[in-house]
Amino acid sequence: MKFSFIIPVYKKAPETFRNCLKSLFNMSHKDMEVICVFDGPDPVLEPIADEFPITKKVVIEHGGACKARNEGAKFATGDFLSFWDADCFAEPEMSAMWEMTLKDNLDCDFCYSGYAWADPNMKGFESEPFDPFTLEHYNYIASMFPLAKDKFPGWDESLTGMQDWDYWRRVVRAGSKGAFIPGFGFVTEVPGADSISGSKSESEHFDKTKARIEAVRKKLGDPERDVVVHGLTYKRDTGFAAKVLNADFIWNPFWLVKPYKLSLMMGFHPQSLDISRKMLDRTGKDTKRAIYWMGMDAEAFYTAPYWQVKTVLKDFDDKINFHFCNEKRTYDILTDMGIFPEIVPFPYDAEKEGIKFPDKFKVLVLTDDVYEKVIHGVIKAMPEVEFTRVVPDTYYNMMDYTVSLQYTKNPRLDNNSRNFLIKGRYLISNVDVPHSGYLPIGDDPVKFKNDIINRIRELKTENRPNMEARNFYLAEASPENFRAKILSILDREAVA
Amino acid sequence: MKPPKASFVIPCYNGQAFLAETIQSCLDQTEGRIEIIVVDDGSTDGTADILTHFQYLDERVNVIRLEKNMGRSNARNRGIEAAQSDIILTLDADDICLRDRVEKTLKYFKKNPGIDLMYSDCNNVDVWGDLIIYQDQQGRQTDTVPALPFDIERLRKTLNTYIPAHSGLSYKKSVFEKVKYSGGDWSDHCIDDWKFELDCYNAGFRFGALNRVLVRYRFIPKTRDEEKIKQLKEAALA
Repeated sequence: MKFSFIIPVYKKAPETFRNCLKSLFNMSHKDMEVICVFDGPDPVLEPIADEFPITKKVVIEHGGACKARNEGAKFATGDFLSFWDADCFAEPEMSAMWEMTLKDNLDCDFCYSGYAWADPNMKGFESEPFDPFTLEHYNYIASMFPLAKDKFPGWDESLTGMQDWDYWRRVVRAGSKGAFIPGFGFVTEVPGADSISGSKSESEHFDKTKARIEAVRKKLGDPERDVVVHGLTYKRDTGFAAKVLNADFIWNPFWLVKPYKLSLMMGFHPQSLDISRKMLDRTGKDTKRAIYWMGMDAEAFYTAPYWQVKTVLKDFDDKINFHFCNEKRTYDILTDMGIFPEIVPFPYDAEKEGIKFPDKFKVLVLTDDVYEKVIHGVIKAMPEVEFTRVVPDTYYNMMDYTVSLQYTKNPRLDNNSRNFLIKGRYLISNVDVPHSGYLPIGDDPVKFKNDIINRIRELKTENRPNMEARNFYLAEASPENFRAKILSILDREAVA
Repeated sequence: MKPPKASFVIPCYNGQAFLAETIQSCLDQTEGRIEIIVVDDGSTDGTADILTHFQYLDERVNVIRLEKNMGRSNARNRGIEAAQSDIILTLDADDICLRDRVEKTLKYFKKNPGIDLMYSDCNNVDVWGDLIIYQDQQGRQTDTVPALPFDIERLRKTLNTYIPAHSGLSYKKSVFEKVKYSGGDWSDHCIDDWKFELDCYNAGFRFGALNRVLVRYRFIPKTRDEEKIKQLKEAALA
């Protein structure tokens, strides 16, 4: 698999450019070519390119990066084109990883990953799994990633910025799929104030971004929408809520460039107050602002010092008009803090695949220090049953399990558990809601232990889908219900 | 397979909550040449599933299934009859052996050929397996219940105060040929172990104490018919 690296070069520090080329030729995968396109003659950088065994050196009249990329693509002979930047430094295994991923995913025409910044104090950009819907709303694929040569749509030379967003959106609209590689593929310099991506001040950056986003949206014919959904910590849920509401979906405040009739903020974590504030400030004057409280966030506020909660909520009081939450415990907590939300169950996104009931009986275990001993005792008492404990930072697919044993000090039926029930699985928990397998720890610990063991054994013997719970939650958490309830505030007066 | 050097005998009636831990503690012994005889005393819970699992896992686990519940003494007697080795180690279905129990027991019997029954220190643990700490006679914090030297008067007066737990008792199989566990009321009121120890003394067998923790006894508060137990005791001592 041959990769063509096409590098537009314009006004770079010589050392940066040399390191960039060095990193490319240093990679373990050697089937590649490098085409340097000089955007205007450059007596300093051209000799540096000659130090390396590059395939082609093109010098064009100055006309911007997109023009240079299109020029360079004409000479490319590789299977995949990568439009590299002269201030990016590849990791030694990057293209080997690309090849592996593309061979594993033959239905994909491109692959991509996150990237790290050269400034070690900055958190790298992690990117996210491929989803055409989210790509319509913001860009998470950098221009550097390899695209099959026959799918190359050309770069739009008329745009002043966000060309990569436009480029990948056109690629995906043409039907191509991308494969996501978790982790960082390369390191890039932080954009300076005078570069395309950089800005001198925040307001200038905002104005620049606004113009660029609007240009791309106009060009690609995006519909004007009345509703926007934004969330910082819950990207997946936010994206899904936006899909259900047919709303715009934004997670970076700079992308909130036009006024909407309704803005719904998903989650409200104390750690992200600054960005939440920015998000709310950026919404228009007449926008109705709603917040959908996530259980974890409400819990975080509930356990925070009282004065902190008071200060924060007072600050946001006039910014938020409507409150919603997912389930009863969140409702109880918020009511206790003086907020009166409406319970609207979060819509399920588990329905489309139907029930794939697992062949093997396995039990998922979610617990915390309060119930650790109890649950540990149960696991030890049933050597013939396979238990999987959820440890932080481990991957597990909830749908591989038939039963989820959930004992925590803050019992709550979260979205994942509800989706689990909708998939016809069983819960054994201390959550006191319908079909949650409510089994509280009583006075007699041995009886409690035996009850759990008997219940697991009973489920293991039966091993059939839990249709009662499925039907109950399919009705309660339907997307139609969610859409109707949230959009109904468009017709309501703001209470704040 | 070489013949076992020691046999665990575990009577079990509806013991699913702790049985797996108990069997696992026997399998984890430093001395590998052992057999584990579990007598399923007509359990109606998941005991059978656990035993099937362990039988499949390890050939040292032998299971005797009794059709209906006949009491703890009967289960113990049946289990010991089936034992192939000369050393019997008693264990209840909710107690845990420390890893060197068999090793230390065999060494003790080798060193003290005159001793027929040996008992050891024990730890008390609660339902969740945590050590129970209490104050001893000197007022120190301790988790060990000490095995005091054998004294028949103390045995007569109280139940098992000098033998910390019947689970820590081991004896030669020759003892069992003369003395069996008594069933009926003794078994129903859970004092068959006391009766067995008394019978062994009366039959002339010698006891020895090893001051080393070999078992963890699970202390679960139970209501007992103290009046009936007193009557039974008086009848035995008369």
